[in-house]
Amino acid sequence: MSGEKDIDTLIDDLSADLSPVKRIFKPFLWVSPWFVVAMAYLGGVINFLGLRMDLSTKIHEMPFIFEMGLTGMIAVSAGYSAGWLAIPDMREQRWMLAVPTTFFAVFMLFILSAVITSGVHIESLSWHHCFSDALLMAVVPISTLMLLLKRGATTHPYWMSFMSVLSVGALGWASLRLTCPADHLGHTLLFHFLPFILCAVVLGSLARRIYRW
Amino acid sequence: MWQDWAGKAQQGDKDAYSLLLRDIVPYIRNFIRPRVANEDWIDDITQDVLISVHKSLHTYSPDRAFKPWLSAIISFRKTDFLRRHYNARDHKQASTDDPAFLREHVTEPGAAGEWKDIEKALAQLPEKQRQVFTLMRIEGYSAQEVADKMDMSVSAVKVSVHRTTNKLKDILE
Repeated sequence: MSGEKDIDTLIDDLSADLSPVKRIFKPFLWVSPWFVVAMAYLGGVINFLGLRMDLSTKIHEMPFIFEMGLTGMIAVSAGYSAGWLAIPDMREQRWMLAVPTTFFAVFMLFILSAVITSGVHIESLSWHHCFSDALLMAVVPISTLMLLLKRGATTHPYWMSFMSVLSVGALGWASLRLTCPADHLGHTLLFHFLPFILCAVVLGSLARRIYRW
Repeated sequence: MWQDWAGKAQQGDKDAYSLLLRDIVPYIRNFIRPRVANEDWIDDITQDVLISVHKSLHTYSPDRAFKPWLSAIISFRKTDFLRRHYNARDHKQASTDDPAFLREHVTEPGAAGEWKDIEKALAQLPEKQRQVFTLMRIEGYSAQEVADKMDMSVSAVKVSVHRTTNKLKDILE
């Protein structure tokens, strides 16, 4: 019976502590400002690093257009899924997770097909500015997204971390493709993809702590 | 009704909030009861859930059903509680000399003395065999964990536990 007494006391305390809350009405609208901030930041970084010289040619190549479109869709769908994940029951829209996951699977197949057809020439493991450029592109978007998502109450911290990194990673990948003229897979996988994998590993291992509530 | 109370609570209505919290307690308890082994945990998890409802009230949308939202929180907190509990491995110790514990947790407290017979039987086994059996069957380690600890293969651990079980049956019969 002491348990019931504790619960009664707790309810009284919680009720006394209640104040009006600012509701997360629509996760879609809630996450949108983050996209604006992330795009503005990445625009600034791209401007600072400079666009690749052959961009006018590249934007007429079908595989490049497909790749940019696909990464854009991954970024948007993963970002919004992360917003829905901030709600305990995802407003019963769990199917949403399938969208960015499917896009990401298609992206991985796209990379795999390029590996099979062109092969991979792994570059020597020396420091390359693209690695730091990727981290520069990731740091502000991922931090601001994490701060935003921490205001929610996720019951899926690992999915939340995965979706956050997927969204930021896709934006970063697309941005790097606009600034770096190197197209061969050895370079892109090592210096464009690996930094985001590292982000995913770090964020994944800290997911439960970061999104604790 | 819960939907309505939750909506009012979001606007700061303390009475509606108190009604809501009191009304959801039986639902929380009934949700948890079949999923946990110990009756005492139900109150602990219920309190965790109530605090979580308080912390995450802003994520609820009154135009949607309340139960799925609440159930997601209960499920999350229950898993969280069990994970913390089993990580601490405080489930491995139980005293058969404590009558209150026996009354609450042992189906047949009168048969608790049998544990002492098992201890005696275990003492008759070779050291390594006893250690493997104790780790896996009493302390709750997995076969893989025991294999790593004892520097054995997983299949050797399983075979050892199987043989020890048969041996104990022979001794105790």
